[in-house]
Amino acid sequence: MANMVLFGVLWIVISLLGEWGVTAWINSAPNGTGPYFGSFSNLGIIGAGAFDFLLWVAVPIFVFVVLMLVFAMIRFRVKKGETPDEAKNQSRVNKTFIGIWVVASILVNILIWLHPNASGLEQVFAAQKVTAKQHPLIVDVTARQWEWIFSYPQYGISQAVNSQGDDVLYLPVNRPVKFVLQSFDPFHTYDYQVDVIHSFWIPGFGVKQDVVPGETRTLVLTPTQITSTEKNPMVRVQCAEDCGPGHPYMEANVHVVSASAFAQWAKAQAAGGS
Amino acid sequence: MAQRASVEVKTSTPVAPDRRMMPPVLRALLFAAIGFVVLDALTVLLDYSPQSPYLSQTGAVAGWFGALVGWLLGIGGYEHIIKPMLGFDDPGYKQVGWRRFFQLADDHKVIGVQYLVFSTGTFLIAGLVAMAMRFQLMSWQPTIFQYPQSYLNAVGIHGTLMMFTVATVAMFGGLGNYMVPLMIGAKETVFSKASGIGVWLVPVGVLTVAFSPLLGAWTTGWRGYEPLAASDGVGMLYYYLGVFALTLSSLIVALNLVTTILFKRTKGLTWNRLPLFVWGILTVSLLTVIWFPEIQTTFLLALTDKMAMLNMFNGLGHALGFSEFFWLFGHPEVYIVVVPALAMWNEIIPVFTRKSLFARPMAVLGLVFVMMLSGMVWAHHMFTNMRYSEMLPFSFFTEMISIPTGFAYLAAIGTIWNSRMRLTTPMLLVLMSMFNFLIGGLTGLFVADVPANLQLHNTFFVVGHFHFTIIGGMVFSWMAAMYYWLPKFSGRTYNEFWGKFGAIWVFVAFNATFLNFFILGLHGMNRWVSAYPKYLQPENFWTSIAAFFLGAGFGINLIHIVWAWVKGPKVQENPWQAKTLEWQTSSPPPRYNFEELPVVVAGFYNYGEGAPEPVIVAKQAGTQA
Amino acid sequence: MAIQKTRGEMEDMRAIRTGFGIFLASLSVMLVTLVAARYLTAGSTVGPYSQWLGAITTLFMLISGFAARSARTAIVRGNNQAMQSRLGLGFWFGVLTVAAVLLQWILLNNQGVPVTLPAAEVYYVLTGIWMLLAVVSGFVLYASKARGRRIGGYTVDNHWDVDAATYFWTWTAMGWIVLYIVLYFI
Repeated sequence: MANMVLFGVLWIVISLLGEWGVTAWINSAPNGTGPYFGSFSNLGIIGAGAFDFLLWVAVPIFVFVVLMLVFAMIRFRVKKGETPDEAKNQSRVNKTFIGIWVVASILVNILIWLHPNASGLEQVFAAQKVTAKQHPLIVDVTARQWEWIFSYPQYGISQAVNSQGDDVLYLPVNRPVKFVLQSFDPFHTYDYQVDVIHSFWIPGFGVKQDVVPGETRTLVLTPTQITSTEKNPMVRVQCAEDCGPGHPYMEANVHVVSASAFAQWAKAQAAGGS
Repeated sequence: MAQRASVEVKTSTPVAPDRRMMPPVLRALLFAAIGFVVLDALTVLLDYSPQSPYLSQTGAVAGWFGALVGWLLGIGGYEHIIKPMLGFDDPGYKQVGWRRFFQLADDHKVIGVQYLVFSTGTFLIAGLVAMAMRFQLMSWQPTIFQYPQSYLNAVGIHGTLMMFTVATVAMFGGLGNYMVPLMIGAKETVFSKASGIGVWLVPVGVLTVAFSPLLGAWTTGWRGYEPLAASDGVGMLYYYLGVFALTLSSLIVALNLVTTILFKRTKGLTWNRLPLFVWGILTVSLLTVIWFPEIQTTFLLALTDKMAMLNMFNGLGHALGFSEFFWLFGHPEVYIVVVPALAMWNEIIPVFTRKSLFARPMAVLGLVFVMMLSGMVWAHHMFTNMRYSEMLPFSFFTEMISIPTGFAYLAAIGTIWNSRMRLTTPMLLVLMSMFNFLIGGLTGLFVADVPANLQLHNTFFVVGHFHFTIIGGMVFSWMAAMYYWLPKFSGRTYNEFWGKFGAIWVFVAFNATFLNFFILGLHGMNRWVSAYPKYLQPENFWTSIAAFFLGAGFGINLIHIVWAWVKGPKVQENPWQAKTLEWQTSSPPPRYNFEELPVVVAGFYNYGEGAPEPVIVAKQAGTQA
Repeated sequence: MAIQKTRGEMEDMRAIRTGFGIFLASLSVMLVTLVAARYLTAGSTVGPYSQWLGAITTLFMLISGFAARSARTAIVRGNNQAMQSRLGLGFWFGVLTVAAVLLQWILLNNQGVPVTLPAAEVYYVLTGIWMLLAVVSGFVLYASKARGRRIGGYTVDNHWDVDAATYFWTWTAMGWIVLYIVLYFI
């Protein structure tokens, strides 16, 4: 009984300390996105919320088990000089403990399936249903081995490049962007349809979507901060599905800019003759 | 087929004069070379043109099958399988001295040791590959891997070998073959001949995968993902074939052990009394029997797809088809790896805590439910490319599988509470394994959450997650089992100081390495890259340093175990006062395990004053031959 | 030579039989995977296969399968002679079946059907893997016959080798019939 009380008190105290530490970690980053880092888009904020919530859920579970292991090693160990006898308590069943364990593990799992998962997914799905009234920017993304090609049909830009001739992605802040994702090779000499699975990932935006040859997929998100690859290297397009030898280098720079700066850039790109 | 032949041989221990011309392994290599050349030549002859190269893709595949058959015949399949099938006498097995490990065997203990040696050797090879990978990742630019494809090929070889030769084989083929018949009180396994030939498929598979880059680098990682595989280097073919051999070996283990457990249990060993490790092996065997033919077929399909340049799995066919087939097998595979480890915890804990196993039915149910659910969670590997409507059900089943997995913890925690724990090396390693697997499981919560998964998928966060489950869960338990059963294998034991030293070393280095992976992943480090943005270098550098310490730690443990096996101090028969049946015979056990088959009269996990003794040796049991 | 079997031997026999059953059940997973691959790749399109040749192939396979089954029946009744000849019949009709499938391959090729036509792909792949299995189980069938001759015949009490071989061959025959229905009709 004394062990149980001691263990219970320690568990509660350490868990509270843990929760305090985790909260401090989460709040250490701007806008409370903590250790998730990729929260520069509306979808990233949903993921960051889920991540933070799960951290809070995981702390007491982690503390319970680890404390139990350490506690047992200290309290229940046969110390030097003691006779190594059999344990006195030989209970093989404890219905209360088993009952609480089973019910708690079912409840925790249903909770986290419902709350950060299903509720977060609802928000993700809702964000995908973008209407014309929101004036989404449409970006056609073509993945080929090994290059990202961005074109802006609304602005007459067939391949956006920067001054060095590298592919670049410019996005206006706070405006929904609809990425239309396809994997094929427009420059292939005889078999343009054959390409491989890539994954369109912007780590800073906290989301990725696979680009599958033979299919057209879309991803709608809204960048929420003005930033760029130069300012934060997490904000870059990076291929996240192994696509062959060039995979590590399949990346492109991203610039999230104000609406007026975007309009200016688009004009210059379209006039650039591309 | 010729099963009875071996039963007859049993009575007369063969001391036949050695008429063999050369050692079996050499003969096997020679036959394999002949088989390769003959079948490859056939492919050239069948489709002859003056321009045809001597070694085409088809030739390499056909030649491989020729080499496989030649190897198996040469190692002893000719005398022991083919000729008896055709009605000739089996010459009998000469199982004496160290030579017995280098030929075909029908003693499950020899086979178990063969499996253990093969997987330990492969663990070293694949571990050295991992060291090379970590060395590369110390810098953000190419260093020892000049080209990304050579790095990616190393990743593929590391993953494939670790998965199909170490994680799947060590506890299942190795410890399972050695211990299961002992633990159920059987004299031998049912299909001991098939089992003996199956183990020799492992070196074939390992060498095929390890030398596959000679045909051309492949870059898909251990999954062999289509459509990339189709346009990848020709070495891809040998990835498929190597894995085919390895899975075939495990499939034979599964068929053999499942039948043995069903039929060869000694008198009184009811399902209620069956040891937990045996339950673990039984569930794993059933998973293997169901899912391994599935992946073998898929690999044959992919092999043909690549060899004949079909369009089954590319943009013109069904590009995601291979991934679906692969993960349908891939997730049960994870549980094939981990379930024996979970069972092992609760095998070891009661022995060292001197306390009856808590909630034994729950521990067993946990293993069985994990087995049943494991086929329903696979698509969580594909959240980034599945339909939205599939996300909710698959995330649901994924969350739910943590409940039966938790039952292993329930039993373990209930047992160590109020116990009298002897903190020996195996016990310490079990506690460490519980700690590591807990981190693996809790990070699983994050990865199973779909919105967060869309960020974490294919980053180092996931790499950290599965290394915590597989190294942390399976490899630590494997080490615990090796220290625990050392007195059984050899009658010798390890040094307690060096055992604990090795355990703590590996534990610290392991956590220092792989905890970093989570942070790296969150910082935007993706998988399968030999070069990465510069801002990730400092963290990667320190991760690599820790990884080198981890590699050295495994080396220390390996040297210690080998030393103890060969030269360690001798111990009495049952040094841990364990109650399961494998301890009721001499160490190492005689050829047919038990002089008299033991009779079980109570469960094995009862401790304390007046606990019933589980075993009586049946002197009067005259019905057994 | 009738051998009285001990209880232990009977138990061993039961274990071997069940284990063999599990093996065949496990192999059936291959068939399921192949059928799934057929629909994933080619939908339910039926390719330009010769329906006549398909029917003849299946007829051969049926004859072969039933011959093997009746070989087992013969030895259960102790008729070693009939068993030998029926095993031979089963084996040679099995060879004919494989030859007929290969003929269909050649026909497809000569009709100029592109190899990468989905319906052609699935035909080559599914029947190819089936033939791989048929070669193995055909060898087992042949071996049981050869073994019977060498050990001086099977008896009522000693015919597990024939049982195993014919079960395996029956499984192969049923596998063909599944593939026949799946490839030629639905």
